[in-house]
Amino acid sequence: MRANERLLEAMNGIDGETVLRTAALLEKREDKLRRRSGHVWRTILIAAVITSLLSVTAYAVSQFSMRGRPVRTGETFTWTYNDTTREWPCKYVFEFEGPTECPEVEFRAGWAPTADYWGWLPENRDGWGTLYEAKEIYNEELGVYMPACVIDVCYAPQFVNGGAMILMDFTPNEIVEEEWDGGVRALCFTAVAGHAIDREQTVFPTGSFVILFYPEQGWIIGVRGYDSMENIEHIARSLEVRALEKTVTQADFMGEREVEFGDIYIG
Amino acid sequence: MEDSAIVELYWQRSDRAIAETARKYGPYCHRITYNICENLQDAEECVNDTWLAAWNAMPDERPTLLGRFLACLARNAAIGRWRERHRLKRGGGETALALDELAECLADGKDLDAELERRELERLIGDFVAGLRETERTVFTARYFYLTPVAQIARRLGFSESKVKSMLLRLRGRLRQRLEKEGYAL
Repeated sequence: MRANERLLEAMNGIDGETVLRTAALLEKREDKLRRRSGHVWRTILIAAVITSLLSVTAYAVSQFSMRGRPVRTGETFTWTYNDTTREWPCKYVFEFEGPTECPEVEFRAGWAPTADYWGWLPENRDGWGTLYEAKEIYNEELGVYMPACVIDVCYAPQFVNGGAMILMDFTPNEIVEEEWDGGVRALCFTAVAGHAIDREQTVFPTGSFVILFYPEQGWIIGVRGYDSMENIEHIARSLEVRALEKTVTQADFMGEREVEFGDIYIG
Repeated sequence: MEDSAIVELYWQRSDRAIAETARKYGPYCHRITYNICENLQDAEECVNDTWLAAWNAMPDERPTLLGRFLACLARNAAIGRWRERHRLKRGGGETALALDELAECLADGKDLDAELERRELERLIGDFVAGLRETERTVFTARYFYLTPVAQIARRLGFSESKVKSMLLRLRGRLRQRLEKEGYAL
């Protein structure tokens, strides 16, 4: 027997709760999908690099800068992982300049709309971590589940030297930029998805986004989802961020770390 | 009927055991076997094999989660059937695709035939999946336990196909690392 067949058989080791819950979820969603088709939520931001331009050369500047712009006609973005290169379509892009390293940070949300709002948050760390995911909200009218809010962190060094952070499959409306406490730049905007969520392919959902960027340290925290802009901004304003002793470098994101980031940033 | 009552029927060797199982879990098991076999007749035969395997297993087994227990039996039956069908040819289909994907994680040539290693591999997969985030667990299980096509997973979970593919790509990368760490090197 081939090894991959053994591996396929070994999936029987997945715990019963996950197996049954997945089945229920697939069936449940299938029932809902009888009334509509299409995607609910696609990529928001992705750590993408223009591979042909990728090199690791430190800039001789002490701070980071960020500039957002629409994607130019014919401009493409690719991302490589495990020898697989994919091209990512996008409408809007954020470019960064600055050093190729910065301090690693973690954050903590001090507010949520409801007590049981979060579906995934750091355990046993007093709320400190690098990923929060809210439970999905159900849209009765369309019969779809929609991610309410995701918060995660990335770093400007991931994107310097020809890289870019892309807003994938969403086209932003007006971006309002503010300076919040401590010199944090906050980009607040709604963005319209490029995919419809109804069977007739006429309803294009609008997501709420707050991107926090700290030029002194180079971290970027994305707070976004299909919750209201008011809630998303309230959550973003409640965040505490602290720098850790560890430094992250651009090279970190070429390997394992990039794996983690991809999961966060694609959806 | 409650699962525990159905299990009890098996233990009593009651004729109703299989009928009640089929009533409650027939469509569920059929979906599993059809995803793998991609052939209605084979899928149906595998479901019947599943009932037979359940009849043979209980007693001595007393599964606490009957659905999962039957799902594993159905998978085993269907994978066995699929293997028979494809012994002499490399066919297409979802199972072949999933196998190709999993080939990234584990190399041929390792002696994985021993029962001990099979159980060890199951434990490892179980631990790996248990450590994933909820969404990742669902996508991974839908793909590699239920052999659900990527497009279907995307549609049912409300994701884009590219999201599901990229998530699976990374999950396989992490699984490969875990396997390497445990000595199942590529």
